[in-house]
Amino acid sequence: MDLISRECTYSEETKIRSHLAACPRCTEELTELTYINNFLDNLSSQKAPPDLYANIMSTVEEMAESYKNLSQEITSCIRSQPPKGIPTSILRDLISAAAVALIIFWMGTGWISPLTATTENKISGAVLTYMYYTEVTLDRTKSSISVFNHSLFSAVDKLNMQPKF
Amino acid sequence: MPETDELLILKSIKGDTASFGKLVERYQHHVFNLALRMVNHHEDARDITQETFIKAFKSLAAFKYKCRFKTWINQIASNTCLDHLRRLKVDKARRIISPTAPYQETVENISVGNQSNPEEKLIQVERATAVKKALDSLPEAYKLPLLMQHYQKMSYHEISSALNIPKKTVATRLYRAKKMLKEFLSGGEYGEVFADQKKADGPNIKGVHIL
Repeated sequence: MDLISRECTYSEETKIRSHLAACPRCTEELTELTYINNFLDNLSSQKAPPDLYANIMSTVEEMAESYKNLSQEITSCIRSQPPKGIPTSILRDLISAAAVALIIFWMGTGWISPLTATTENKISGAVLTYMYYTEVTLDRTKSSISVFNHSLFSAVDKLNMQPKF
Repeated sequence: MPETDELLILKSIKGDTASFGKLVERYQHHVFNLALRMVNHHEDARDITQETFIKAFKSLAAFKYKCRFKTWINQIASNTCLDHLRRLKVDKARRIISPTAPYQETVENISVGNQSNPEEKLIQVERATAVKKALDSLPEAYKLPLLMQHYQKMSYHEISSALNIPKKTVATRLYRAKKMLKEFLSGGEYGEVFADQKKADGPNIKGVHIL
């Protein structure tokens, strides 16, 4: 088979031919297989139907168009609903919260309780206030991300509902 | 210089459908012939070809260049053919569909090569019909590698990749397929057709130099 199929190397072919020269049975087998090969050549190739290309490309172009539209929809969805507080707003809020907390507690603690207004207390108070305001900010951010994700997943669902072939 | 398949694939992945169109132009006849020889029905072969290219377009991004595009498209085509044949068997068993007339080789659709006279054409049609019947008698597992090797001119390595079987298995199946064809053609109504061609070919058969 390898000889007929031209799948053997030069040295393999040499060995096979040496064997064939001495083996009438194998030579007959090879001849029969070659006749089969020739007979198979009687079956001609057919051209694909002339409108097949147009049908394929019309479907391909429809699919490409719908992928493009969906991609644009997702992009515009992301742009139109930026989640509030990410990222510069968060930073701004956090810095504001930290600054306000520090000022209030640094100044306020000293005014309210001058005797106990140690640096430690002031810092501790400032940190607690900072933590409170950052928690509030994070909650607000989380809620904004939730709204954004809902819009994004709705768009992805539409993609999954595209016709499958 | 024509663009390589790899370049066309890259452009197609980036959204250039015209490049994918060039790939379709290059391989549509190739895929159509494989499908036609497998399912033996013109309309079904057409549908299979269309389905093959649509599947290829959808999974182009997953191609990864591990083999030639020709091997990959043959893999998709052969799987689509096998799925189709399985569905047909199930539908026939349930009697959902009635058997459709298989594709017939006729004087009109046969490629006559250098046979110009009507008698020669008829002989050619007879031989082509005999080949078709013989191929139809083969199990799918033997028919596919034979079609790929003989008509699609694929190497053992390419057939092995397309069908996901070892090279040795490809060689074994090809050998068994041809032995079965020989048995089919040596007896019955096509025995004479085959014998006539053997006589016409004579001892100097093309392709192999007999010592």
